[in-house]
Amino acid sequence: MGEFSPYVDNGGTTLAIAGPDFVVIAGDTRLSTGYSILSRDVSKLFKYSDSIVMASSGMQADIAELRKQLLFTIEEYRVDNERDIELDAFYRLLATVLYGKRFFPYYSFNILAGISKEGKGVVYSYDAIGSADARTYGAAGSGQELVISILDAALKRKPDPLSIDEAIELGKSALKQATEREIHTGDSGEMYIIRAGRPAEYITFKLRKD
Amino acid sequence: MTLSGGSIIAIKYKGGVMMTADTLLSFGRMARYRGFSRIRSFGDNTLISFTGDHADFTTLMEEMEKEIEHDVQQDDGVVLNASEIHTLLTRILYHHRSDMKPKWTYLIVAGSDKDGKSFLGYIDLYGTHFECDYTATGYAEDLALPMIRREWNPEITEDQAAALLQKCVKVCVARDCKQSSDIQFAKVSETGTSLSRPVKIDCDWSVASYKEIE
Amino acid sequence: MFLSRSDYDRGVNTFSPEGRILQVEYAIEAIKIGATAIGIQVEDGVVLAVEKRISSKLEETKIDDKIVEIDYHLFCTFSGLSADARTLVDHGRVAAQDHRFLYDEPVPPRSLTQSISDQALLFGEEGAKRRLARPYGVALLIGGYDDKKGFVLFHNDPSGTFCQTCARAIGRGGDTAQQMLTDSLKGRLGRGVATDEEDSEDDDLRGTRFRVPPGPVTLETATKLTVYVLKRVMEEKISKDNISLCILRKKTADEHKDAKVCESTGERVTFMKSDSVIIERFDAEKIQAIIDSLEHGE
Repeated sequence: MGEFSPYVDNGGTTLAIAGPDFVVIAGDTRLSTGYSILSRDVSKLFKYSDSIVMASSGMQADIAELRKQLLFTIEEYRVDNERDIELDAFYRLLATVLYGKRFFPYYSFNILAGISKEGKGVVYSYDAIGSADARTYGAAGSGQELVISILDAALKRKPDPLSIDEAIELGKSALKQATEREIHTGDSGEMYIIRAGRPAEYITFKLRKD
Repeated sequence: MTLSGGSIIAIKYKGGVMMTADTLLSFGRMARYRGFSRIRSFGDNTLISFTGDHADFTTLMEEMEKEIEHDVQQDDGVVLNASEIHTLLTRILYHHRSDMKPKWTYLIVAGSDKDGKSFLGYIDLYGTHFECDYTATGYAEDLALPMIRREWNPEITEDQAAALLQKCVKVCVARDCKQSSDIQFAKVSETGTSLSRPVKIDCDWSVASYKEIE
Repeated sequence: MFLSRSDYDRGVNTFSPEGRILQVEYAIEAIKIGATAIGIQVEDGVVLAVEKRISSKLEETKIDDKIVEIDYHLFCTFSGLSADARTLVDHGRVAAQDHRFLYDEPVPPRSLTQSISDQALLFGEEGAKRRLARPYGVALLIGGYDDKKGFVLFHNDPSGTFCQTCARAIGRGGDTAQQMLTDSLKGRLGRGVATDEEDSEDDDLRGTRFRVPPGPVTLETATKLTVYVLKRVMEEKISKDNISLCILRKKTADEHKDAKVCESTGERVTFMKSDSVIIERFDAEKIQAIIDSLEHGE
């Protein structure tokens, strides 16, 4: 028997698009290993607060652990500092937690979406060991290459500012198109729509199940 | 090479969860022990069954017994429900995989959650875990799941569920060379858990050519 | 085991029959023979002032280590054993950088004070290495800026207790100084602002009351007040050489311009967040000016 590999790729695609005062973040709900679908309704999104949502693809067990670690730390932050954590601090926290496992990384590709202190929509995208930067849109997971091309084409040289409805439709359609060509993505989609000073809104939509 | 168990199939029905497993422990391709129950009743209201390494499963169950003993000694009437046992087993399996000493098992946990609703959960050796309405491990993942997806709905009765499982197992016996035809059925509902004695799945091998050679 | 009542004051892990830990109370006494230190927090800043005791004419007075920086937005002064203070301040500096490392933001002053107070309580005869066998013989005044709450001032003592305050005096002249602060600021700062603003001639007659101009108390007034109070409670005659004075205030527009400029993009780089405040240390000349203004002015 060869050396045990502690990693498994559970597939899935996530994306986020930021606008002037909003951000949308979405993902599919398929959980797979190799060619078999383990579940059709496992969420990749996790809401930490009304202005912070994280989307994660990669290995589901590692992602669950990462979420638990983050929940623990932000609760500690809340009681120690008597305030809720804000996006800027959460961005750094996630980077630090991921890098803290530099030599046995969490197999997770994360996108963080939220509203900054200035009230602007922000997307942060990470690699598995915590390298991160702020963007206006991002994609991750098994359909990353497909989705990012679609978002590039739609957003890179867009002359007028992006409206929230455009962002929602673009997010949905990009996931649908990834589902057409990428076998680890599909079943159903879910999305958080985050606006400054408002509770995050949650919607779901259908994707191909094949 | 180690002793291992084969497929499990489990589905929810209206009022409970039902699962089935054969009663064979294999040693490689040898059918080593027959009549072994791979479904365990845990506490009053939970069923756990495994696919994969038998020794690892036994060790896991010993670890779990310690946790349960805690509950018993408290004597406060609070017992872990299936959903909590599912979470606990997930943590244990994830811990072992992170230690690079995985417990090579795929587990199905059935019972009820804190609201008394039916619970069915899956965990694998990596700590991958989820709740579901029906699931299968081993070859049954490929053989039985498509059949269940076609026929299952949340309103399915106990009898219909039993018939569906019977049909799935029959296919597994026919197609999976390590599947034994001595099958155990188990169910968990409000009234508690029940495990059947192993029953023979009626398979017609009359078409097989070895009969003529005889 | 204990032959007489006075034996209860020997251990730091033993309550006396009256329910007191005497070593901690003695540590608090150590502060009452320390240099007088004063802190005032107003809307637009915090001022810390402390008496510097010069033991010899040959001593270099320019060294100003009685008011120290913990982080860009936090500073601190103390009464009591200064070596103990340094240990606590070092701990605070590490805690402040820890917070920046993990969250990329300045530590909230209250959390920092909590962290220092936790450290202050870590004494005892057994246990971890590098643990102090006795309580820290020092009390701290910690001034800071909080993004959410504005300027704040905290006081902590050897028992590990801390509290937020807007004016506090500690040390040898602490009791008198605190009374003077209360007299001068009542109705003007803290609870009951502008509700019980009464002119008590008695206070004036005692000469303990500094006339705070009407309107919100400014940082300038608060600074003058600290010097005014120090002048009256210090045993030695106040001079530019025997006090230290620092303020924490918002940066002016000019000071903002001085922030680093990135060579390649020409963008202004804010290297550390919350650099919207600055700790300003008063040099001898500036201190002299305040002393003079008190003498001639009001």
